[in-house]
Amino acid sequence: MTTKEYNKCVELLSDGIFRFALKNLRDEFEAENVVQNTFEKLWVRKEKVEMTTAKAFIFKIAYNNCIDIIRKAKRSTTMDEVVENRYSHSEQYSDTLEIINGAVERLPEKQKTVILLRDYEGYDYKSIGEITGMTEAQVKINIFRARKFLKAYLKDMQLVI
Amino acid sequence: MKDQKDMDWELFEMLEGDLSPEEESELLKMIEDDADLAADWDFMRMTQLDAPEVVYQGKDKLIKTDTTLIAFSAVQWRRAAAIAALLALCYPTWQLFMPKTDAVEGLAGSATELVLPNTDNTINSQETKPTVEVAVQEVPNHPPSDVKEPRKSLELPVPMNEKMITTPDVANQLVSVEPLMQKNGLNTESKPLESLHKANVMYNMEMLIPQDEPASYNGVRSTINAGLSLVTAPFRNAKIKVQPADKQSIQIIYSSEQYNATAMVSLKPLK
Repeated sequence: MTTKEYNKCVELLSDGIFRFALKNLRDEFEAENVVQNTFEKLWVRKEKVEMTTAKAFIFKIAYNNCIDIIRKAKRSTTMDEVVENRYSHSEQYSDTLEIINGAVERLPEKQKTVILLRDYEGYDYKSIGEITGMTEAQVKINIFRARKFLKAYLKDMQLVI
Repeated sequence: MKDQKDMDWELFEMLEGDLSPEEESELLKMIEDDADLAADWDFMRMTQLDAPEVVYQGKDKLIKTDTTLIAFSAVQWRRAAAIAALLALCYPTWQLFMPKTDAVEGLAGSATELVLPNTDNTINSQETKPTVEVAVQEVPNHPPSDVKEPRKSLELPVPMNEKMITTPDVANQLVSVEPLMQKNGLNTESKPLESLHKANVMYNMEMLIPQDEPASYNGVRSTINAGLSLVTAPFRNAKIKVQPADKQSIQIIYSSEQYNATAMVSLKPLK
């Protein structure tokens, strides 16, 4: 990959990486760090990365970075807080989009990652598998579970509203 | 009859576009006929996320520019190579005249006065100061009876000045640099030795040798020349030869009509 191609990657993919990291981490500062780290690693390895595989390579780095951050955060979070976040419905939602966003936040890491890559970035199962290290079947089943959870959540919230 | 789990899977597959056209049309027909299934389909479709517009603001910081290489032309390379080769050739010559110990180097750079040993009143009381010892032996070229009075210009009863670079008492005739400097049109401002720039010292030394006389000066470190130039100053019209005696000392031989003098400059390590 040339410098010009690297810069093109920055132009085309930095927004997506930032969005992906922001959605996963819910922390703008951390998300910015992920973007910087990701492109720093791409720059270091640019000689070995082809432009055609750059997007998957970048998202894989970003995904791993997000996982590291989440794991570190988990170590400092008590189990009670996690459980409370996972099942709490105390927020007040004003529209469907907010409800869906709230539901996405409650998805388990893997399910959240695969559905974000699928819907936000338009990746197929195979590419998602390359990024996350899952098989295509695992990707598909995780997406299914994520959608099923979101559907049930939306249905519940609809009843509440 | 398919259960809820199966129906969810069917709806999911249709949403993902994984059903064949026949399967899809069959499922759509079922949805039309079943209100609950239609509601489920609506909820399933809502699970398809729309990417929010997010802009990363730090793109400019990530953009890289190509590293600029300084383009050396062939001529520049040859010049650089020639300079490097010249320096490499000069190095052994330089080393030949360099004192080998670190202490000597330090001394050469910081000597503040010249002390003539073999003279009682020249021993400096400040023993801890770095010193350069200079032993001067005057040897007449002719038998003593034939020795002429030194030329007027060589008798230099110059008043001692603290600011002047001097050798102490005994070498009164060797002391004054200033009058000679004036005569030679050199800088008349006397300075402590340590304040002299090396390049200036070298310049003075060269000026002390008359241009019309072939100097046998071989060249030593400029900082050492600072001391030597003081000693040799009175012998303005003499031929001067400076040669290394050993690793710690340098021999200076003056030859003029009246004098043939040898000075040994030995360098002692700093205390």
